[in-house]
Amino acid sequence: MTSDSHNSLHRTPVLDVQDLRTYFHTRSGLVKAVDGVSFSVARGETLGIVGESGSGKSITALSIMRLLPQPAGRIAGGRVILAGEDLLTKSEAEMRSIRGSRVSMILQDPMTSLDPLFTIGDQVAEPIRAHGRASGKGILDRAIEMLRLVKIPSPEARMNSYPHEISGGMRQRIVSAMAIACEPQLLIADEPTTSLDVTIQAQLISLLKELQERLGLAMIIITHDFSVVSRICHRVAVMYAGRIVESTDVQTLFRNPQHPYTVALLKSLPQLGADIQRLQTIGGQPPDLRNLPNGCSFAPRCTHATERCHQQYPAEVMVAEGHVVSCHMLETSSAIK
Amino acid sequence: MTEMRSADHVPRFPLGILLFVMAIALVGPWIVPFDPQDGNLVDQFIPPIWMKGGSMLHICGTDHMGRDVLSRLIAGARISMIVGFTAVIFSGCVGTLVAITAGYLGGAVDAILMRLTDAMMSMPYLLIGVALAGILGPGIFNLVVVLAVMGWASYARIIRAEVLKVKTLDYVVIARITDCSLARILWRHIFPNILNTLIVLATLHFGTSIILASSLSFLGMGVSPPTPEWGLMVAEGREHISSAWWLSTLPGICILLTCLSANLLGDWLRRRMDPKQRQRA
Amino acid sequence: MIRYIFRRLGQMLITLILISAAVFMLVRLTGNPEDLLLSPLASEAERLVFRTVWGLDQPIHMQYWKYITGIFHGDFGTSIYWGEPTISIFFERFPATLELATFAITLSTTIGIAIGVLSATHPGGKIDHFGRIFALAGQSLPTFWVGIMLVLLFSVTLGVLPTSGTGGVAHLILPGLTLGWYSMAAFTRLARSSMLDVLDSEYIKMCRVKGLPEHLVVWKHAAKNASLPVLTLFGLQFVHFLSGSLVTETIFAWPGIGRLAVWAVYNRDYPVVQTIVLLMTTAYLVVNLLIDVIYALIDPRIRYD
Repeated sequence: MTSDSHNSLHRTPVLDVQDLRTYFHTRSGLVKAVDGVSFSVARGETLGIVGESGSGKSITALSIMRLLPQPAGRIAGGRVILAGEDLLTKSEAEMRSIRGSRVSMILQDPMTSLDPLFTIGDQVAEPIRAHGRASGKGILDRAIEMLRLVKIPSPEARMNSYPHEISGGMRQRIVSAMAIACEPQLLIADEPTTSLDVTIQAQLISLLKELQERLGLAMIIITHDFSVVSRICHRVAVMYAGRIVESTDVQTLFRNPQHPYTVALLKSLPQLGADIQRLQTIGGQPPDLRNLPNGCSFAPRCTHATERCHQQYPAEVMVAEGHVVSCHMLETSSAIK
Repeated sequence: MTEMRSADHVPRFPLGILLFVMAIALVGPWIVPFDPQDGNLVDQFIPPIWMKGGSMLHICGTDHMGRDVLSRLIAGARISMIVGFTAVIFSGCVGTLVAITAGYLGGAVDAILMRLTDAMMSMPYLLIGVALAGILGPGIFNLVVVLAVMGWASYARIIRAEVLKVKTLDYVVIARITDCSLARILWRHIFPNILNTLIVLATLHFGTSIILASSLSFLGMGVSPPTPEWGLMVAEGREHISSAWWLSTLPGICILLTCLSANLLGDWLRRRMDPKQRQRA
Repeated sequence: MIRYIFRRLGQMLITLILISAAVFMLVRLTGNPEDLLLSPLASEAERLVFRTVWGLDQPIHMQYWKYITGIFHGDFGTSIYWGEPTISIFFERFPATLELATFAITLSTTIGIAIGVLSATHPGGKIDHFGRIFALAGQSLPTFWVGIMLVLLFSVTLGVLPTSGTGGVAHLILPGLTLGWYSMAAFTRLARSSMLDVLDSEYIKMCRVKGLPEHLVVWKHAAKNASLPVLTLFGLQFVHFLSGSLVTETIFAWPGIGRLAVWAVYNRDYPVVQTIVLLMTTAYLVVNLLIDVIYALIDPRIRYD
């Protein structure tokens, strides 16, 4: 999906991903982890990417950062355009200066994303120093400033603490501080709340929201947690087996989901107050990415699947302004993109 | 993000070599071309077949006493296998027993046994081996005892760690709460879980035992002449290194191949047994 | 930390007492020195004198008590063969072993770690392949065979290095290589796997996400984290060299503790054997303690209080 169909004039995309394909060459076959993914994110906008494990969400993020596990992973096609420049054409040295300064990332597990042998101060100061955002004493000052921004109490004292002395929630904030230290244009958060307690999750989400407003960040939140989506995302892309099956704004997603997978996902969420005997699940297994079926990847598990679904991958259908779905069921009704 | 795992097939080469050596050990006495102990001084120092002066009769040449080297190598295989297996079985049993007792019972028993194990492990092992061997005297059985004494401590340490891990598994906790008999818990729950580690340790220790046995024999503390033990053969060949290099080299190669195969096999087993282990060496 | 050190020293004492008792008993189990040192024609009177002089006529626990109290006075016993205090015999030989051990450990750590780290940072490359084979082969070769083969190659065939004895650097090379061979392989293996483990961790990924230059990622973060297991191995290997170079010293006629030990066992010179075992065990325990302390200095998560 290109940017023009939904972006208004004052919102040019910070990130424009076009037909990204990332494949892994393993001895047991070619794994198409990301197979033709397109989306864009504008300044001050948060895109949520949701899906089950193995849907390709994290690989998409790593592809944007060009930090795929070597030597198996390779970007096989597409473009990743950050503010007009295609990241896929950059050299490794250029990417290194982009990472941490123009594009940042928050990893999933705060317990392991900090080096246990170095102080917090040292680790927060590193990107500042590496990207030349300050020098001399200014580096430490800026680091303390960042800690303050993410609401770490007594930031000066914290600078000399070690990661193991700090709780998970605070560690995730520190990682956030490292991520925004160089005022990036794009922030990617890969399952930022998954390893946190529920109460802490809320704090982190509101922190991220605040940081976005303050710095005008474009954000991508990768998650499988719909409550996070509802609280912070403006737009959502649903991924399945390496492709986006539905993308729309967040209200429409909850009120009017169109793709059978999205519908099933939402149905499987426990509802407060509803009288439910058993939680609904989606039957079957996620597909083997080495052996994707011809046709729609979701067809084997889809209750509405027809003969055609098993044979031909559905084209993208624009169901409404800014709402795109890949499903044969909808082709008859709306205009085909 | 973990690397995609590629298939890790059974290492056929090492396994093949080990099986071959074991087979040789089994049928040794029946296939030796000559009596390993019997030599004729007239025939001394015949070089191996691929060198000048070699003959079809003695494919690997003869030694300083005129004995056929090939026959001695074959006989040596038998000794190494016997020593290796029994040493591993003895140290494995003792070590596992200590580990399970210490790990499962905990408390004072654990503390005492572990202090003992630590003491054992902090002694310079080759020195102790030599001292012990000196006390007990030469001979295959004594050699096995020495190796067992030298080896049990590392089994104990590692397996105890496994026992501690297994103890906290849910179904073991349940078994203890529901008053299952001690024997039943140990046999049906604890033991199968440590079996994997035990197998890996045993395989690796097998290789080490062969090297240790040959080292002790080399120093004159293991088996005594004229036993055709590989290490002893290397020692005996040392004096004649400039004229008859094959006397020391060939038995060494046998030790190398056997131990290498055991190590490769042990490594592969370790990788197979650990589900989290990604493909490494 | 200080309290921890004292606690460890206390434990060491207990261990040493246990070990000294064990060795004391074991060494006396078979073999009487008098059979070896006195001529078979010696009369009963002479044997009696011998036994009295050496205290061999006393009950064994008395002998042990005498021994222990002696140690606290700095008397580790007297060599039956030479008649001199074992402790001075020990320290006469120790420098040679120390020299060899230091050389070997330097060789094996530098080469081993270099190959291991390069192997990990360039997976699949030539160094990686070489390193893996080297590590495997190194740990499957018996030390004595390596020594003999090296002598065969460099002394007999090429004639460039001496076969035995001490002297200048040339004399150190072959024994050093022999002794350090296995250790080199062990270091290569450990450095490689430790580095690989660390390079695969989330915090290293985080460093890359932050856009840090590669040299910082590898030499600041990865190296420090990977050094911990290597440090432990260093301690183990060094002590092993100090005490376990029996084979190497025998092959190269190196006048050190190892050769002394083998000789003493052969000749049933109990006091010498006891002293060597006791001192070497002490060395092992002390080195272990040092390593643990260094560990705590490097890794802030380790606090012993």
